[in-house]
Amino acid sequence: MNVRESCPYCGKMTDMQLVDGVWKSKTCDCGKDLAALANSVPELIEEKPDLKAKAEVLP
Amino acid sequence: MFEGTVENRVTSLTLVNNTAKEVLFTVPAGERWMLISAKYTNPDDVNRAVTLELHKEAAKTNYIKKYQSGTVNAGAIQQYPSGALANTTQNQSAIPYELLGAGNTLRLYFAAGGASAGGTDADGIVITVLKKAARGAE
Repeated sequence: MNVRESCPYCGKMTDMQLVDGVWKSKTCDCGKDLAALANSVPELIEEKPDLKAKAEVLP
Repeated sequence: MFEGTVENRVTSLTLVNNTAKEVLFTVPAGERWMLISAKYTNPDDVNRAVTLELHKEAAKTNYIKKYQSGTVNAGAIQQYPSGALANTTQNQSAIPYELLGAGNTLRLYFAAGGASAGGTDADGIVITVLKKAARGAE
């Protein structure tokens, strides 16, 4: 496996798994499910332009 | 120079309350990577100091160089190369197309940022490389 991440519980490096083209967390050797941890914290919503908004009129 | 396969190594990223995070990308045996770019997000609600650097092997015994380090604001994105001037002499400014051999390991380190809600981003890290086959004994 060539992508690894640190486990926030035990601090050791653990393998990530390739799922549908994306490297994702899985269960660490210490038994903690890091994928479940990802679901327990807020998801970042990246700002995207509102294409339906009215164009601003410059003064 | 540009023979090979372009790969976007999309990686989910989860940061938790006041805890450092490290993600390693190791070039597999039989491959060489030309590093084209690296994008990383801070999905947390506090600023994080982030470092992108290169080690000779996955065990990180031998440190080769630092590409970039700096503060990434909450919810913000940083990328390498950025075209911006390096803010310390230890940073490598925009010199793309770095050739990495089998075993070389990119390390992305998010320092702890204090009390926070944590956060996750499905494409928090994207390492773009040109994947090539290894040639001869290396």
